[in-house]
Amino acid sequence: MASLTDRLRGIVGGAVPRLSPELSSPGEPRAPVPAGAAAPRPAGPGEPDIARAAEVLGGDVVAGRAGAIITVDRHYASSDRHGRVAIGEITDTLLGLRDARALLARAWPTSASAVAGSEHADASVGKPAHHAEHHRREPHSRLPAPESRESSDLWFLDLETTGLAGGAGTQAFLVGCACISRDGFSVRQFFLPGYEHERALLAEVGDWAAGRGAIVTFNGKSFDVPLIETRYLFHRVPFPLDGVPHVDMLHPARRLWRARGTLDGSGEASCSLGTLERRLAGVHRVGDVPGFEIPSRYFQFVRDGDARPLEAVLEHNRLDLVSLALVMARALALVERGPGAARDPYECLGLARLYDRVGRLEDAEATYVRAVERLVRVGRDPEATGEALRRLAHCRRRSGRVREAAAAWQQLAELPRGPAALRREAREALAIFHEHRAHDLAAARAEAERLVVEQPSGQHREAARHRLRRIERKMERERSSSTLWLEPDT
Amino acid sequence: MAAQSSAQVPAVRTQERKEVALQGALQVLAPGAAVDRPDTPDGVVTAVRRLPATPAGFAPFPEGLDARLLKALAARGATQLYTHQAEAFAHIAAGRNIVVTTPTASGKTLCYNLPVLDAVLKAPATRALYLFPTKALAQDQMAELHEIAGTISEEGGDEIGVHTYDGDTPQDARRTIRTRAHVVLSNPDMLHSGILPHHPKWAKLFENLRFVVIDELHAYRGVFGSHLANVLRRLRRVCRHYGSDPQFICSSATIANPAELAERLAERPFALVDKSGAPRGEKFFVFVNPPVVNRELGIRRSYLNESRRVAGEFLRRNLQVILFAQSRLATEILTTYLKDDFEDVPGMPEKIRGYRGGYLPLRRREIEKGLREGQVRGVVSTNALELGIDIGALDVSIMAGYPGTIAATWQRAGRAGRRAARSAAVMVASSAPVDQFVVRHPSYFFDASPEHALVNPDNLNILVNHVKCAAFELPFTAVEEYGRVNVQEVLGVLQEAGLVHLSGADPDDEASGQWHWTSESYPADAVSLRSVSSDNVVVVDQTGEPKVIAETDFTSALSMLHPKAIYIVEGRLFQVEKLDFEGRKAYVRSVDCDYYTTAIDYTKVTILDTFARDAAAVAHHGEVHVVSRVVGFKKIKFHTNENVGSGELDLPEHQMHTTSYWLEVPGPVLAALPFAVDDRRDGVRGLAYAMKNVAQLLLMCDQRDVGLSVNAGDEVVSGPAVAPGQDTPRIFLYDAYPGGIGFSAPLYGMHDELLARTRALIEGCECESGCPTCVGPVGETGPLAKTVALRLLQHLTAEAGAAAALPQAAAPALRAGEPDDPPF
Repeated sequence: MASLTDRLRGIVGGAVPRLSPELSSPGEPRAPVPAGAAAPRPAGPGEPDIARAAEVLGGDVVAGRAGAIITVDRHYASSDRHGRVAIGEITDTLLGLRDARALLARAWPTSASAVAGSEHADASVGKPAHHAEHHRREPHSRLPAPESRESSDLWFLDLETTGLAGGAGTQAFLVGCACISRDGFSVRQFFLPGYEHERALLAEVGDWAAGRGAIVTFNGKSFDVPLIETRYLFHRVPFPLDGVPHVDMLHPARRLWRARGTLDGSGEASCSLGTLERRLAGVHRVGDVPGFEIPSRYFQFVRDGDARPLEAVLEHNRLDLVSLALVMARALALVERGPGAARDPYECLGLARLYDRVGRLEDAEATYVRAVERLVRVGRDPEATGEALRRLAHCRRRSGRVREAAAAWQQLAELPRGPAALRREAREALAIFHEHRAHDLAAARAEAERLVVEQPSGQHREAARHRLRRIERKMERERSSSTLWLEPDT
Repeated sequence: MAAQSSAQVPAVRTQERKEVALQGALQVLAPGAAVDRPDTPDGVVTAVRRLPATPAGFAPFPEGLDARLLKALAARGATQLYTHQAEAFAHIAAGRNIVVTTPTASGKTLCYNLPVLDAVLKAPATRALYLFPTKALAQDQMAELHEIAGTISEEGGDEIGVHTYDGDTPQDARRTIRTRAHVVLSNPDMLHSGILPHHPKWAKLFENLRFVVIDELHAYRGVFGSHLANVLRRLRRVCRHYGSDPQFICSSATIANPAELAERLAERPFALVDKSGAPRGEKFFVFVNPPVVNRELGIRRSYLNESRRVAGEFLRRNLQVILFAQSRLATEILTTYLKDDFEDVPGMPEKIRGYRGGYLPLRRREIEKGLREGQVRGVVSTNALELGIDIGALDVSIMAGYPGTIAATWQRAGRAGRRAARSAAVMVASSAPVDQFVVRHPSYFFDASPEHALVNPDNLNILVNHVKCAAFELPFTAVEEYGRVNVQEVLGVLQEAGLVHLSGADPDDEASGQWHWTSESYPADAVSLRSVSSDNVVVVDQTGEPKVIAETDFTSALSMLHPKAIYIVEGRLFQVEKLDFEGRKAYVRSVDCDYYTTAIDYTKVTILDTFARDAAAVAHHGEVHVVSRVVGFKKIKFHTNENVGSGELDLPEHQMHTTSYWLEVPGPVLAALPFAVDDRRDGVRGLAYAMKNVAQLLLMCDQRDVGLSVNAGDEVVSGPAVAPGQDTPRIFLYDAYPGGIGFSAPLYGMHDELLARTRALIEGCECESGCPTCVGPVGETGPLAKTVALRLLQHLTAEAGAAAALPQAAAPALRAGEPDDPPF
């Protein structure tokens, strides 16, 4: 009969997934995987050599009791460029526009406690968390960092992970952090040279992040922050970012830069960081690692110790951090400077919706107006124009200005090639306005008649007919009540 | 809960009326004495047994029980416990794991709720995890726990958080549940794919987990049980990580080996609590065999019609009845029949209801309530109501068809019978061989021990999948053990496939290093705990607007839904036009024809290794390779059963390695039979047909769990057990699951019993030369199949008797604990 190992091979199937040959290290003998009754042990050359990996990645080994990790520091000077945009321009904007930042934070309020809430603050239950010795940091304050840091009170976070699935078996092997520094933008990456060093990595990240203020991420609310929190929980170490304010730029970015033409669709794919950096700053990455390849590059490193294929992963992570800062800076600039700063009508419309969301109705209205003007001028996108007019109308109505709202509805109703559903909504709103606000029954009836004509069939047509009949009855009543004196009954 | 004061006068009068009604119905069904009545296997009523009433045994509440809990229980009318509840509490207090096997409605739930609530009240950090085999049961239990928790907080106690956590739990509620719930009610599937892989989020639960409650333990046998044992291994690993070591409290229906099953599943020692202190009223148990209408072909009156008649006798006398059917379809048919008979004016509250999986939860709750409150007089149900859903206790339980196991039959019978009142249970046999065996041998049911529940947690296919999940959850250390295989070797193979990596190993220290998960995948997603039957093929009728009319499990789809097959639903005929194997859909169209189809499948079993064989070299146990394929089909004319055509099919082949029991007919025995070669072959096939059915009976398994293949001896097989040159037919009864789930080893151990019971089945059958009840229908097995099969059995059982006289190695005992994998 077959040996256990053979039977197991039959069940497990498959071989180690390999990267394309050019990525693997030439001339390095691969350790043959031993098999047989004895538990296989990795051969010596397979264990990553941390010092060598640090050299390859251009970083330093930070060794402590909990393990050794590699930190990689890169500095982007103010004069460096990210696509068309100078780093200094980004950092200046980020440092300068605190009001705009507050507005973004108000629009999408969140703090970094996505997983378990404040469970670790609740000391009444559970054993005290172990290994607190890694936390040399002071209990961090949630106030902005001292001015001496000469930076802002925010920092940027982006993880590279062993998968997207989440759960206890998904780890962050690279924690990319960045902050604004004296004359530019500084990135510090914490790299995990082996699974057994994760505690050390988490401790270092905690130390670095202490007191730096709000976290900025891209999709961090649902991915990066819960994932790294899970790592702390896994090691039963308090989550150092618990309660720290968190701005996830994905949501404002979607609002501002959803793909053209799909204003109400899910522009998720086209709102990726890669798309945004290209659109906002003309960045074109050369030789970038596709995201799906990142975990397997790390697994290969874990198996063969060759860090060279990871260099591109670190670079990818750094560019993501710079682009994240860029996206935020661009968003803040727009919010601060208003519709005049919008480069195209779509940005303008997005900005208006952003103001709308935080309740800055005056700004929202003015910006909607600008967006409509610009969209009409371009004239190629009746859907977006209709959307803008509809939102403008709603915005005006909410500020109690029904007449102005009606004007927007009127414009929408007359919009050439406007979407049928929006036109119907506009006519209904106008009919209501004329009937109940302006008390102009003739105008209301005219709208209702148009509604009936424009609805081909079905429930909308029925509703329109119903409306028309009601208005006509009302007119009838008014006529009879006004003629009552002239033509007495029998 | 015990000793509620409920001796009101009207209740007594109702009870008297009911006793009279029950006696009346029983007299009509089975005239004559109900006590000490001999079995009459050839009659319509084959047995009437009286199960005497047992009085209640009470015990005081244990010392030191939390005062708030005592107060809440008192407020709900409980002033003392039944003895088994007190016994359970004492075991738990002493730190033991327990399994409670007392009858339905004996207050089993208090056995676990009492210690859990007591512990939570005394130390609010305490957490408990309850596992139920279905979501509905968890919901049901939550309702009960909520009530007690509600009473406790009304009585000034603390808030106790009780929450279900399953696939229906809203996302925003999940976070609260993870941290706040004292008692989490869930199911093994959710624990496997939703909780364990995310254990860091559940840190608070795992740090403080003191109790794991597993209700309906007997449901975890075979594949499901083997999976659960591995999920519990993972649970214990995670608990170790968080420093907890929970006690297990299990409850089970009556099976032969509850403590052993619990020990196999949880891998902990267990104390058994099986002496019920709950009172039980007198119960009559009646076996009904529908009369024969065609003796030659062995055809009996439809058991559905017979069940309808029996149910009618009770319903007519205003007794509350639960009627269990064997399938969803039969449930619907019987519901229709009884509604026709008993539902009066439309618009009135419905007296007769159906109940089965597939009904929406709201509807189910409404029916359960109707049953408890008495408006619903009769319910027709699948096994969905067999488990502990609270429907109160009814007067009569009728089973249309033998439920398949002794344990399930008692469980269903237990649905009838209030504490002090008389009740009745009736089993109406269908013409299936198992039913016929049981109904004609009542003592098999009444006097034998119920079945053993078997699991094989070390089935390699199952174990490897869970090792992956476990590695994802927490890295394995280089010296860690898991199950009864060398897990380090398993991890070595997983490393070859790139799924794990051993890191941090110090060459000088064998114990150093950890196996880390190195894959992007989420391994729990790829493992279904109910994998044998969870994958369904739906049947789409496209005669008119396409609609789904039925579904069938994946394994039987190939033989039932192959192209050109005639598929029958409620008497309507459909022809399969296309089987979309990948999309798991079969497209059918209504047809009118006078034939049905049966698939011709070809199964080839090759012996890979023989682990054991008996002294006469008749019974064997070993590892086999099974290749099966549906190669064609026959068209069979209705009524005459003529073969009116056939067709070939090109369908995918199904292959697996598994374990098998097989019987080898010695060449000389076969040669000595004075029959033609073809008839001998028919005899072997007939014997195999009967053995398969008896095996099912003995193993407490589903008919799909065991595969049958007859090798007429014309295959050349290699292996140490083969006597060369002889024409040796073999009958293989194999575990129908890759790697085996633990059926074939016990079957080997039961070889003698298997043959003796098969002989009894065939000998006792009234048909002339074979029928579906014994060796299979005449048209399929040949005219002499029955005769030859019996002659073979006479030889084989005689030999077994002779062999038994020799001093022989102890045959493997029937134990759930037998590993089905060979010793490594």
